[in-house]
Amino acid sequence: MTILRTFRTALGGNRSDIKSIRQETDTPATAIDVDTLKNLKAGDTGRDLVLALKPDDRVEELSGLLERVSLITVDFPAYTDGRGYSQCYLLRERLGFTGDVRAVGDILLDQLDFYERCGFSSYVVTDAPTIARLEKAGHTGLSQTYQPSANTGLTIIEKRIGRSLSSTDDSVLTVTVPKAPYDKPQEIQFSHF
Amino acid sequence: MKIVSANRLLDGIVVYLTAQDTWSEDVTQAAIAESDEEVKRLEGLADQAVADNLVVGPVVGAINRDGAKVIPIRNMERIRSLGPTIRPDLGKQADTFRVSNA
Amino acid sequence: MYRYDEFDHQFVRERVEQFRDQVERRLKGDLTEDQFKPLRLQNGLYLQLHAYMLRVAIPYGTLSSRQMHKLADLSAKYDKGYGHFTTRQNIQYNWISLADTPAILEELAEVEMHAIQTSGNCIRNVTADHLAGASADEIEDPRPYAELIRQWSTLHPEFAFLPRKFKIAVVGSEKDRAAIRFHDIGLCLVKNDEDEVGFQVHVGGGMGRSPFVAHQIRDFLPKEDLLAYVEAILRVYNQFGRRDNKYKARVKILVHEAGLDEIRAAVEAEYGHLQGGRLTIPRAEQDRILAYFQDPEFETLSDTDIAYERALQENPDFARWVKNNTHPHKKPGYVSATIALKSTGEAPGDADTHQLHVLADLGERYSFDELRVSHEQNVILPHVRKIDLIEIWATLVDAGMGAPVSGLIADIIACPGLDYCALANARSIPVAQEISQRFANLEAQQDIGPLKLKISGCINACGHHHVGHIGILGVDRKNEELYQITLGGSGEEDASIGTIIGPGFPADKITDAVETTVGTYLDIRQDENETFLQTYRRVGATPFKERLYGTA
Repeated sequence: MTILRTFRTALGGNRSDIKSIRQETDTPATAIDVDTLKNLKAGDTGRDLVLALKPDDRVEELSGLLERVSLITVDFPAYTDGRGYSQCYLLRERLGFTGDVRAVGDILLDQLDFYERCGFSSYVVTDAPTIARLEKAGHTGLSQTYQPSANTGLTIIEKRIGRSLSSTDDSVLTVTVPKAPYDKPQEIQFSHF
Repeated sequence: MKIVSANRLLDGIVVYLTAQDTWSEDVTQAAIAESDEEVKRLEGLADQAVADNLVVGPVVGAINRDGAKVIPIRNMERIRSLGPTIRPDLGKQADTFRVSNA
Repeated sequence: MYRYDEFDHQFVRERVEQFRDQVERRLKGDLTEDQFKPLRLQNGLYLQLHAYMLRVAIPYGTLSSRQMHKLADLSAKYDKGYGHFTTRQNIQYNWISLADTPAILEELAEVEMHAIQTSGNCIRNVTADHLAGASADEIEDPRPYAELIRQWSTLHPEFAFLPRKFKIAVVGSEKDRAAIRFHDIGLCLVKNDEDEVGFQVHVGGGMGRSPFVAHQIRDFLPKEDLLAYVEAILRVYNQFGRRDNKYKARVKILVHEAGLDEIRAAVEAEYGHLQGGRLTIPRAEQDRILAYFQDPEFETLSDTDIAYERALQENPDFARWVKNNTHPHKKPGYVSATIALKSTGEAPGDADTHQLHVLADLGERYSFDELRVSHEQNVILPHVRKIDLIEIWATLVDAGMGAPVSGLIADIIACPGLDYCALANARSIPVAQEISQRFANLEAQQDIGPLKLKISGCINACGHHHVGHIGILGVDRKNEELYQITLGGSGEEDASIGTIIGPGFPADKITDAVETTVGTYLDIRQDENETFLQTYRRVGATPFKERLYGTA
């Protein structure tokens, strides 16, 4: 079993370099579920918590509970169950979670582009052809994206606007494009649109 | 009496499992299973063909015989063995080997 | 119409390469069929009865003559010489090989076309009024917004694996020619009290096993918030739509089970987070896309022309075609012309290679290089001069596309049915053919008047039978094809779902049953101006049941 970590390259590209790190178990033994997290006492000494989400867990209920969480696993019991994508998006965009969000379960090559753009920062891959392919050739997603998500770089529309910048416009739009691995977001300024 | 049909992976054409463990476009070449064991054996061969990426979606279907003709009983399978009923110029019914069963 | 910029071109080229790679891996066995199937569906490739079927997207039913020529070429090169226009404004080819599909997609990309997301549990082709930009009753052309939604929905990373398919339709007039009230999201351009133009939003409509008329979730949505609101709906659906039962997985079930108020609250809450963010449509991008949908260079014409009027008087066949198949245009001297792909005894919505080329030529010559596909499986020339109609009509008659039956009983909508489709229970095309032959007499058709007859070969309702004035649903009972009649459906702004009239009829009786139904209408209508639908709504099902089944 391999854990593969992705990094985003410079803004404007949606390519990612897959770096294979040493073999690890998929979910650390200390993973807890949402109910356990909610019931933790405030005084518990903090060590990095690992939260394991199931597809019908509500991300909104985790607000304020994630300070000690460093890793959240999001389960895809079948790769056709798309709820995990929204969970990851909400973790990033709504809760501002900057730790590791890891896709686990039925993880396959052809969905990696979607995982990345929704804000996943790592995955556990058990499918042999996917592992072989990633180790051999890495992963290159589509270089253009039409729509913003949690981690997309500039969208096609934003690139179009950026190209027609006019210095005479006085009002300014700020687009915040997070930079992996989710440290300080970088701001880009566009002229008013 | 039952036969096994499937779609060829490469082009989607309907093919039938023959007694030689090959896949023929001609339903009259289909191996006819007359017992449950025989059906199971054919299903096993079909599953192997799926695993070998030759065919997809094998189905077992009952047929009637009429001389050399092999006539699937279920409407859908009968149409699959011939072609669209409103276009006699298309599909297996229009192929030369099919004329005998049209 | 929209033209790709270099971003669009690059996007679709990379997507083709991605699919080529996926096909190679499938053929090698690196992908199982279970792993591959959703991927090929997201590229419009179905496995059907006789071969693969490829559904090519025609965004909001608009295409150029160059694109229509390409569709013709593909039908000859990769298929068996014909294509089928669908009830979602797409085109289907029935005899496609998986091995050929990457090459086909590459050829489509050359003319700015694709088959992305025409199938699968994702957001499908955005459909629109086929008379958009031409009809006099329009507030504003809805297609620029359909284009914005198309781009936003294309390979949206969060919504590639929804509980089920998702269909969006947009209209720009109160008159609903795109059946928006039977879509997952229906959008209608309206004016508010301040005379601003925005969207009325409907959600949760659909046909299939459980037909529903959509609910109006929002009265007015500012244009620049369109994508934020639509994304809010999708995010709620993706999280809460049922995934336990394929037949209960559409958003219409979610709205029905949770109630509109609860769904609206969830959508508005999500929208509140998204509004003003990156999904806001920039004015510059709106303007850029609007520029592609500007009016063509119409001539200033008088609405009457002596030669044209004389042709109408001297040629009754031409006059009949004009009367039924042309629609008033916003510009004097122009009309929109419907080419009914409904010739007697032919498969509804089919056109062969030659016919597709003829259509392309007509579009180029007479309609500013633009054609439309309607959800009623016909092709439209949106902007033609009245003075050109006689030549257009002669060309159509010559090519076997001159049926003067638009909106009449012979303008039948039918799904491919059991002749082609692996999901079907019964054949639909032979039923359509027999009915069109029974009603071939043009005077009789004219006398019957407007009548929408729609046939589906199974409960998935791709033939839209639920919204037929007369609907026919094919079912299978012990390997026998039976046909149930529904009456009184409408897909327009007076949306209604047809009522099942009684037990089904066997194949050799269904045409008689349709004739009896029509005969009943003719006997009890108030006068020749009362349409079939109006009569049905006035008298109800009872008179029809009595005639068909002899029951009181």
